[in-house]
Amino acid sequence: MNKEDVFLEKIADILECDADNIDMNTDFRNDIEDWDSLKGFSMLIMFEEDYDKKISVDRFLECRKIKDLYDEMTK
Amino acid sequence: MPFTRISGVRFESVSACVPSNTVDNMQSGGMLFSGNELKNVLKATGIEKRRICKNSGTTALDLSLKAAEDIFENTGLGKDEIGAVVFVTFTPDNQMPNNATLVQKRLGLSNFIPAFDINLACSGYVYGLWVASMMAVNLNKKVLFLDGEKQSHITSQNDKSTALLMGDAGSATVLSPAGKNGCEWFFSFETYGEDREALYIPAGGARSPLKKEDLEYVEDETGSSRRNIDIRMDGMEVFRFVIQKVSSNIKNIMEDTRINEQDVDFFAFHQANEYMLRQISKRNNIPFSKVPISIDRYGNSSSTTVPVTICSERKEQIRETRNRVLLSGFGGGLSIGTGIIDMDKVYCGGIIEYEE
Repeated sequence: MNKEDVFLEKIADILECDADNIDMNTDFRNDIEDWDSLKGFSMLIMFEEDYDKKISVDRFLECRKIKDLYDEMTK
Repeated sequence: MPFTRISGVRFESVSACVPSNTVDNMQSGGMLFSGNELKNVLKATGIEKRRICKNSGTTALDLSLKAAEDIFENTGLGKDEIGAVVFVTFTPDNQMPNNATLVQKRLGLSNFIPAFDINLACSGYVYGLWVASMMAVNLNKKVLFLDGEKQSHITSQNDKSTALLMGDAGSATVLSPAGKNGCEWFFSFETYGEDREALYIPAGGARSPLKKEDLEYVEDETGSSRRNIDIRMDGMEVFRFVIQKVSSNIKNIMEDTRINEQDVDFFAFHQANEYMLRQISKRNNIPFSKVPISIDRYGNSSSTTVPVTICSERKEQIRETRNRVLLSGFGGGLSIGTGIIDMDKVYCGGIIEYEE
């Protein structure tokens, strides 16, 4: 699995959806049913644990697509 | 990670009690959230309905006593068999004296017994089990252990992070000495006092004695408002604590005791919110079918969610069969208590309703 697919798997785990149903262009707040702030918290924790990246809530709120999140991880 | 073991004790009876008054979050949440937002919040937390004392004079002690009376009535347990009373609560009837002494009086128990409270929040049921078990062995007498919370009077109805979560409930559990027949039980505890403000009540204690302005509602930057005597919660910090510390605590006790998820019949977790419980379970390869859920109907009654969940979801199972149960409570402190115990054909009165 390439790095992008690994990232998508982790995001799918948090969103509680199938990884096939999302891609880098998914607008995770609007395209995903049942989006809520707990899933946002969960992502921030995953970024710290798995990517050693601490991003601010403000920066996180600016991210719209999964690709925006991935770009933060690879900066 | 250290864990402790105890043997020679039996989990004899458990009953729980909730107020009959039901609050429907779909209705009561309309003031705080827009329609879609509300739907998502309820879905994430899993809380559709909650039980709240309607009468401001009803307390956790009343609810817990009702649960205890059920045990005395239905098991033939004699009042003179009780060798001690332990009450876990952070919402006692009075600041002084404690709840346990009032239990001794209201149930007509012997004057010649120890009776005391333990002040803990969400991890409290496991602490209470541990302490009551040690006492049962030490005294060689049965111990009545009550665990109840009434949080409705210290929860702001204008606080998005707590208003739709909290419920009121009480419970009673009897631990008895079992000599050599008892199985080995395991307990593990963790304490993070450095994060105490993630979940706390700022005023009304000795550090900040009650002032007139503590009764005023003050709005924060998120639009929520609460009094200084209300519970406040930093959702992100609590979430982080649960996902990281609690998940690894459960993993460690299972590894250290060599008890895996297949050896455990069910996991009685503190009902913080359903999404968190799914995440903890996933991280520990626990099938969610082994994680009973009661938060949808009863809300989060702090430590009392553990006996409420056992009584509401596993009543028949613990009455009829032998079960190995992993219990875990986590929250205010921040504090974690996890135990692995057995419940072998115990008396369980289920959920009793308290009419006000």
